[in-house]
Amino acid sequence: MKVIYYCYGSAHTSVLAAALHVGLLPLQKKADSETIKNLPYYDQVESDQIGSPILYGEDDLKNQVYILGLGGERKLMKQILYNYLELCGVNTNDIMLIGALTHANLWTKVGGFLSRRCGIITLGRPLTIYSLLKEYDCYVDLVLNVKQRLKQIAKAD
Amino acid sequence: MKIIYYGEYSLGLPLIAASFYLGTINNKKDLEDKLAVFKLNNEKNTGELVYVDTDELGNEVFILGCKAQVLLVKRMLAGFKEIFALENEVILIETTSFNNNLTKLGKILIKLGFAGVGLSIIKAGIKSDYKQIKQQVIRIKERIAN
Repeated sequence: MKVIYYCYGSAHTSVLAAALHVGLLPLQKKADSETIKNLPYYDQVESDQIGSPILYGEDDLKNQVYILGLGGERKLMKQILYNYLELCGVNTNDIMLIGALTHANLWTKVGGFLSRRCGIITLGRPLTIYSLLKEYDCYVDLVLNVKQRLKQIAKAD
Repeated sequence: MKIIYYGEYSLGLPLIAASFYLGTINNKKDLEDKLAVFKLNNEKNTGELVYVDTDELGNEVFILGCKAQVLLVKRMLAGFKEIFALENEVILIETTSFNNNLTKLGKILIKLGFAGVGLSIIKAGIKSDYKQIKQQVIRIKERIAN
């Protein structure tokens, strides 16, 4: 199974969710801001990389975890991806697309915009970390839910 | 093998390029006929892979409209092609490289709300460059055949 956490630019929320999923961040307690700042790809993905799926790691069930930026037309992008994979004979049940923007608050978006779009990293990056830490529990719940579904799928197989 | 021609509007450059590829446009009249179906109202299938025909080598040819997401779609499809090892399954052909100044201007006008004028200018741009588009498609076809 391939688990794909997607957001706008694969720089913040999808990275946080993927990091929680592969065990780079703790699920039992809140991470500290330094750990988030030092996560692979955190606030690093450039505009010309948006759209490219990036392998983030593997979970304990050997599922591959990816991050993906889908820009502003996420519904259209998902539709294109599913149609494309089906056309190529890929079983789309083997991929799980998880939206990571659902818990992004205004400050995450503002911080992401300042850092990635305007290049004001010194202001934008800490703002994204601060705001994501506020929503940390929501992301833990999201990932635990995904892991639970994956366990059920593995059991059914 | 599947061949996918994609661009902003499926019935614009993707359909024209796919038609050149399939040999269904042989003269300006054929081109006019194809461009006649290119209406923004007909672009409701954006995001769907629309089957056009099968070429003489047995490859199925599709067109895809991606709105303004062409670059992202290009990276996404290429990325998943690699992940699922689809090199022998699909060929992706981005048609925005066939754009000229007129088609670019037409797209800007559509975005600004001048849909009718914009579309007419895009069609004029395709018509003015149709020989070059055909040449490029022929080169693509030669590469595929080899």
